[in-house]
Amino acid sequence: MKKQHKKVNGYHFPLLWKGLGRGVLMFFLLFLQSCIEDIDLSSAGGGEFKIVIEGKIENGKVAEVFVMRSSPLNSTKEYSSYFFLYDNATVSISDGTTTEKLRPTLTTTPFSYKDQPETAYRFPYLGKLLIGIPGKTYTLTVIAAPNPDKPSELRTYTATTTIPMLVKLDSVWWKKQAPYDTLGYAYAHLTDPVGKGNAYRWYAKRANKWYEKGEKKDRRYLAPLGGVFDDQFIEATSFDLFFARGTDPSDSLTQEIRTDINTYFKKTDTVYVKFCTIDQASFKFYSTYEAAYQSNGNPFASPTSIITNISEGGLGVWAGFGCTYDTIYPK
Amino acid sequence: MHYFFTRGYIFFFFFLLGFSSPIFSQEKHKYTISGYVKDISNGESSIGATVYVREKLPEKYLHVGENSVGANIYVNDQLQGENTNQYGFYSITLTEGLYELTATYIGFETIKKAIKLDKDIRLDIELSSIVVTTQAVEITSEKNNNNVSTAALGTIKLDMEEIKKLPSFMGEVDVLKTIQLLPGIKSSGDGNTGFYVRGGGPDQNLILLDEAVVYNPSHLMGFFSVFNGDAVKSMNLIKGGMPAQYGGRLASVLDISMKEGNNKTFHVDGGIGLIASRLTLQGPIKKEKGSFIMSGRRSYFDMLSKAFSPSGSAAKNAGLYFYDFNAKLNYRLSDKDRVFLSGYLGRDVLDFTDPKSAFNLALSWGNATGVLRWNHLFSDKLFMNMSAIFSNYDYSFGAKQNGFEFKLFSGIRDWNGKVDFSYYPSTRHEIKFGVNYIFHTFTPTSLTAKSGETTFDFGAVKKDKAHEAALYLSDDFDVTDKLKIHAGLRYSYFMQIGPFDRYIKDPITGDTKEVVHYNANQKVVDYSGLEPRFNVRYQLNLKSSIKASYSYNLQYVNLVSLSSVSLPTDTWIPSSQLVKPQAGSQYSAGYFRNFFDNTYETSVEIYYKEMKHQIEYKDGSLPTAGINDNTDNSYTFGKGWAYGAEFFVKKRVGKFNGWLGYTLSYTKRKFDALNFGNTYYAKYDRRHDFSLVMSYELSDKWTFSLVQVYGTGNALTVPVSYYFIDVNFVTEYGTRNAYRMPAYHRMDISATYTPNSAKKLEYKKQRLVKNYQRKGKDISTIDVTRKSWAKNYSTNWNFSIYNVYNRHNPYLIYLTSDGNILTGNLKVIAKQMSLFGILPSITWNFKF
Repeated sequence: MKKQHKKVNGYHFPLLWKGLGRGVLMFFLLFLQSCIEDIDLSSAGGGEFKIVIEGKIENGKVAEVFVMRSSPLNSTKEYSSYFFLYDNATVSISDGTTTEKLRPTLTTTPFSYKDQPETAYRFPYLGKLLIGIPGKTYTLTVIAAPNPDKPSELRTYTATTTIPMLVKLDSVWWKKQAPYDTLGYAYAHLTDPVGKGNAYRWYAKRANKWYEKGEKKDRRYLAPLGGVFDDQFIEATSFDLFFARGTDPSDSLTQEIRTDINTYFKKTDTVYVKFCTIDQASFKFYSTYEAAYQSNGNPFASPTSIITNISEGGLGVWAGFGCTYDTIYPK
Repeated sequence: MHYFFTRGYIFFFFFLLGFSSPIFSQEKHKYTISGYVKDISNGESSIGATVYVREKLPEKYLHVGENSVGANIYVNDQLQGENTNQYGFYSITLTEGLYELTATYIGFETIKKAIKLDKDIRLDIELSSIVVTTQAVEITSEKNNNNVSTAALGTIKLDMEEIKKLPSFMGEVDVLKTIQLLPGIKSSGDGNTGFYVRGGGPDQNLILLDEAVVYNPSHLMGFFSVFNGDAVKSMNLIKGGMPAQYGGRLASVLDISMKEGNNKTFHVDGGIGLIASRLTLQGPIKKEKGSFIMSGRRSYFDMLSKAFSPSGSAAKNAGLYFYDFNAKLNYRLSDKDRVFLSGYLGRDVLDFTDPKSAFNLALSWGNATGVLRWNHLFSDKLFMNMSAIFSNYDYSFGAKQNGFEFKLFSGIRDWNGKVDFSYYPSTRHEIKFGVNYIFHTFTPTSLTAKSGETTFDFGAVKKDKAHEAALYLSDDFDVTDKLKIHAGLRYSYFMQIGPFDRYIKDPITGDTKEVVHYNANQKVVDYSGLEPRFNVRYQLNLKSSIKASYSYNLQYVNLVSLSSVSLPTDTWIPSSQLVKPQAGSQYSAGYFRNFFDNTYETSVEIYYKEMKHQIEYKDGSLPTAGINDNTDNSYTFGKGWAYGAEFFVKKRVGKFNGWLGYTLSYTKRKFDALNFGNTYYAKYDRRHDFSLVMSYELSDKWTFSLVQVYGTGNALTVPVSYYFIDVNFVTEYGTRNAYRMPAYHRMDISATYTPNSAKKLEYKKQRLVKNYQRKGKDISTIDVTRKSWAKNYSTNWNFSIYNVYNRHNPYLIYLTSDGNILTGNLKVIAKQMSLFGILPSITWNFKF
């Protein structure tokens, strides 16, 4: 295929499609004096408790695995965040030759966030020994009881992932977005390597602190919606991408200051970029996750099931990331 | 088993044809009376009129045909019905003798004529529309029993005048909304004109406007249908026992005829409503020879909302409107030849800009049809219609942000040629045969995108092309006075042709294994089949009959929808190597009984349906643009069943009229790849469906009407649990369609006020007619185009209230979260959105 200089929106096609539903929904809400009220869905029959795994291994880092539970909508349990965390699972990973048991970090109050390291907003199981290496395959094993009322009914969940070879962005920059002078998107230039099946996930983190409060603006790398894409339409081409800023739902500060401009980076921000390659199973998970998140309960979208790579009826993902890092100093 | 059945059937069919002729070879000479029935005031053929003949000496009804769609013919004093052909032509062959011919039509004065039949007679009958209101009593004396006497089962015909009496939604009279009040036809709720017939999907309805297929019948996301009440003359809905001249869909035919235009005087009609207005012009091209009608509508809700919204509000930047335009010309070239040219063009536009994010969304969709028809009489027994038809539906959805532009589009375009014959060899037979050919061009969901001057390369826009053809033959046969049979056979053929690329997928990994290329016009795949149709009626007496029918249908075009709410973006796709033609068998039976001299019509119908090769998206499918893929790779196939019983009571005439319908039904689906292979209820499975329609004429000035509907809620797949990924909550869905939405119910009322000025004219007309009748003069000689009449104009005011008791019917259900995961009080809540609460409207209609 002829190489062209192209620019791709960070939003990928299915998301724009979902955007249609959103637009229509918005339209109804605005113009048709639609009436909204609560409704009880429990007649649909009970959902069951399931184990949710959100695990990753990055190049040069140890494995990090969150184990949680899902909650049935008709559950009588308190919907507390604490309830979702699962603190006594047996979690181990293997690279084919070495097997390592991960240690839990859940000790104190969950979901505290003040000046914690990136991973501490929740409490993962962490590795110590095995460090992610691009090209290598890792197997995760989790033993846990999905039903909180039946802690002795343990199940064994497994998943496998590979850290793909790294692809570094050619360049990154910031550009203001009219009509604003000091707000804009993050841009990057990417050359997709020859060969189908490359998939990527973009993250960014602002290095600055809030002027008034002295808190970090972002405590971790955040992926905006549309931050996951593969090379289906861009195979072996070279092009520009732009991304909005991701938001952190676990950070009450970003919640507080959520304004109309929360999708932009500010001219005074310094932006750390983490750009990762992921394998196809992880791509399927993250893209269906984004679609599901976008269409969450959106009736114009078909019920989107998030495609998992966890066995035994588990939910979530075990993903290998091959990440490279850049910094943007907006000008 | 099916083959065996078909073969046996063909044999039986030809047996019927062969055996019929000797019975009627009698010694006396036979002659034919034939012609058209028309409305004297405007020259429009009156669809649904009845013409019958009574032999003069022995007081026996003989039958006559009728010229309009759905007319009846009676032989002896046994009332026997026959549907005349749909172009309004009638032809009756009788032995020579003296007869009295009677022509009747609801709302029109009955005409009687003495006829001496000693040669073939061409007789065009003009009916006069006298004041419906005060003449009601006289007309009731001519109530017919069509519903009992025809062989048609599951067929409903409504005239626009009947529809106009019912409460309207925001002042717009709507054909599609009205048929949803009939048993067996289920609406999909507020905000959707899609309708479901006996457990079939919305794509299984063949919707025809003057013979042209209308692929998307809705405006404004389904709030209105595309059929402008001022341009529509009548509609015929067939939900079971589809005659052989129709095909290509499993569930139903909705055949809508446009008005032809007044061929005597020039008229303007219109209506001004709260959100839309309409205007119709009609008149002669050449008096009595040809006429035209043009009708347009435009909604202006968007203009109002923009004008009255504060600047900076979202409403300033959004709009949704529709317009449509109908036009029809007809011209009588000779006694034997008539040509019609008709067309429809309509479009919806939705535009939304979010000034904060500079995000723009534009959605537009519309239908266009064009039909050229030629009616020709080869003889007084052989009628031909030849049509060339164009039909197009397309949508586009575009989004713009930050210099990046993106457009999705899709559509279907048909070129269609057909020839239909009606042959009336004797009063006992009405034979129809014909041929139909369609060239389909499908544009599957396609994508273009550009950024500044850079255009993305998604390859050339793909078009899927296909030939569809059919041959048919049918006979409406009065075997005895009591037994009537309609037997038909249709042969259909479908071929998808290149250029086409087939992406063959590895069943396990889903990767493309191989790409097979087909050149232009090369056959990709073809399908064909015989579709037998059979209806039988046994008349127990003048008041009651039993009927049964069987039909087998094939469907080669399919509408596939990803969402639980139908959007204009649902895509039409052809049968392909993976998508086998949908096939449906329907068995139905009914008992029909009229009471009180045909004042009350009642019926009970039961049906059982099997549908093969039904299509759904695979679980977790995302829409693809079909780039480096075939969209059908994401479909999965299964079967469906539906069965139910329909009860109907109708009071057709009098000051107080209306109907009551109730349907009990079950609709199921089974797909190997969905719901773990278990049977589940289809989305539109509806256990109970009830409707009550009443209209009361209080005085000459005031008419009131009321509609009450109730229907079990749709079956839906809903979230059953939720969890967190990256601290965002996401949901897991439960068993397919295991949840029932709350029931849909609603009451509408309306009042129509017709000021005196208009009534006066009606009185005048009526007085004149009565004088004529008293003096025994032929009322057909009244010059209805006289100046003093024509000058008069009439107006009426329609006040209606939709959803009187403000029921919040669920339109859709979505989830939202409340509280904060950080503080541990997060709640996930399901919400229901309803579209319309109580909604009053006023419309002013005028006519001059």
